Amino acid sequence: MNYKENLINALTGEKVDVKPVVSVTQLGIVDAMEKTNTSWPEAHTDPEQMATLASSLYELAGLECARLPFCLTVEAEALGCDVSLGNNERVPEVEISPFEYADDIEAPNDFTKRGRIPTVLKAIDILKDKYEELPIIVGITGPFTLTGHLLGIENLVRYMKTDIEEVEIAVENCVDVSMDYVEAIQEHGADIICVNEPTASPELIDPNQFKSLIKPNLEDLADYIEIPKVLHICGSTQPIIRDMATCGFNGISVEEAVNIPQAEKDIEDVDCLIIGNISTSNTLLSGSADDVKNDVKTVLDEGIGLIAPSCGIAPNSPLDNIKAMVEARNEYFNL
Amino acid sequence: MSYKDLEEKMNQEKIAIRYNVVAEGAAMKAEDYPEVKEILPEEEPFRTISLEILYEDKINALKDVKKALDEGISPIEIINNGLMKGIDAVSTLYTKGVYFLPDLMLAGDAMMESVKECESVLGRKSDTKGTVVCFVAEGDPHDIGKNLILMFLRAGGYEAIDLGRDVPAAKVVEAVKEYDPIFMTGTALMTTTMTAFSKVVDALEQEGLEVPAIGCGGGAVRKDYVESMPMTVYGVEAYHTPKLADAILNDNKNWEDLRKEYSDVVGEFVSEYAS
Repeated sequence: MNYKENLINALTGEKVDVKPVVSVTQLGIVDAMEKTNTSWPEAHTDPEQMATLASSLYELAGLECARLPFCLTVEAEALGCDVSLGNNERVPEVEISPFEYADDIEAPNDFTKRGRIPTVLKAIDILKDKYEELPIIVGITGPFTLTGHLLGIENLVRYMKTDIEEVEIAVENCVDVSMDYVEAIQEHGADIICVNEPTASPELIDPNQFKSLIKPNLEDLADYIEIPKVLHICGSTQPIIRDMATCGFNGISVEEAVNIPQAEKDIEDVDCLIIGNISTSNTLLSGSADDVKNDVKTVLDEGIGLIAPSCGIAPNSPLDNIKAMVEARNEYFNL
Repeated sequence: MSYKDLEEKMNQEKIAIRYNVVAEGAAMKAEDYPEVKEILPEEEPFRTISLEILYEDKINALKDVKKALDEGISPIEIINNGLMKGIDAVSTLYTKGVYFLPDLMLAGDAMMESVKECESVLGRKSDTKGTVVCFVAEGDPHDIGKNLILMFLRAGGYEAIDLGRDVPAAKVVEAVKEYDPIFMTGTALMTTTMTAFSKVVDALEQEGLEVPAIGCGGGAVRKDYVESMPMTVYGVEAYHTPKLADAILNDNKNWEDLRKEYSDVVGEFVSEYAS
């Protein structure tokens, strides 16, 4: 099977005989690092390691994509934030941001040459050279989440009530920043872009504000991305499913808190695939291979578009559970 | 008539245009919800103060608290009958899906500032019921949840010790030795950090330490996972924490009881605990 073709066909609404099994979210796990001689934080900064780890679950478990990078701090760092890169079990996080006001947010001319953006771009090149038929998924930070990194998440949440204009300006500026990065990712030949927007979850933000403030910006960003694109938002996104699905993305990635049949009903007249939602905590991290298989069968019965983890895979998840995810899909389609 | 002709005839100062109008009922004021009416006090100045918390108005809350203090009203009464009632109403509307996280945080800001004002008149911290230790899981820098818990615990009359975010198990063990808390809370947003809770439990067990319960909750935290280890209780909402602490303090409940009686203890239907 040509995994790239199959995944792009599935995302663009073509009929596929076998539903792809991928991860649109973070996929670095310790088991795979040990087997591929890679590690964190090195794989966040070294393009060779980043490429190797990005495709490790394809090599070791048959997952049908390469996915990079492994954090949501690349853009913030390139804009001048201090980032702590963490270790094997800890993903990179923004520590200090130099930004105080929305108006300060602007991409420098050489933005795509700063921080770890060149690392990501180089890793895409390496993967392109190595694999012809393996789709490369690149995760970027959504504009609202990036705003949270830059202005501070607590400030952002308060501004949503006290100074909405400040937020509007900041998010728009972050869309502009993302556009430069998107352009570079496309030039280097990535196949799919996943916009990660965890901070827009209804657990943090009023769904009405998602619709009025965040959605228009996601629409602009989706419109700008020329390759197949998906949107991932964490948490219980049931109240915003329809708005997520009508931003212009080919697919939306949701957590296990979302009821798939209900979500399908909510968006039955919309051309948008639902991606997910094998629990990263209950199942992939702490469940058995049989638990994983049961969950995969359930979501396939419910008509999920792509089988994928519900969120970023926890680094301590066993490789066997990823294998089980692929095996369960194979069994389901009699492969 | 063309729009241009029409435009000249219109009084431009009296025109408001609203796009994308969605049919919606008349907005209900926060104080008019029956659940809120039940909570809010009738008597002044407590009513005004509680309303100011409900409407997240830090400036006026502070002003009216100061005024009440000047008039000789007891700071304890202002806290219990005004500020606390206001924040209770806020949590109620949050549960109902009327209020959202920004409302909790802004109302919390208004309340905490006002409580400080009362305590400065009291000349000491108001008496606390007991000590609770709060931490964010190791590796996790997301502390909104923990900050809300601190706010609700302090509002509920507890001494809440803030260990900060990204807290290693060893530091939690030290805090247990130092404060001997009646309850502890651990929060995590990311799936990648949730495993830190089992490290905390292991570290406590190794030292032979025990706390009546550790409430674990936050974004990626799942009940099944929390219940796969001893000493822990899956916490659903930040404002449940003072109620869990009350049950431990007043009724000698431990983690096993809380897992069984969670909905009863917090006094509302909790779908995560419905079997």
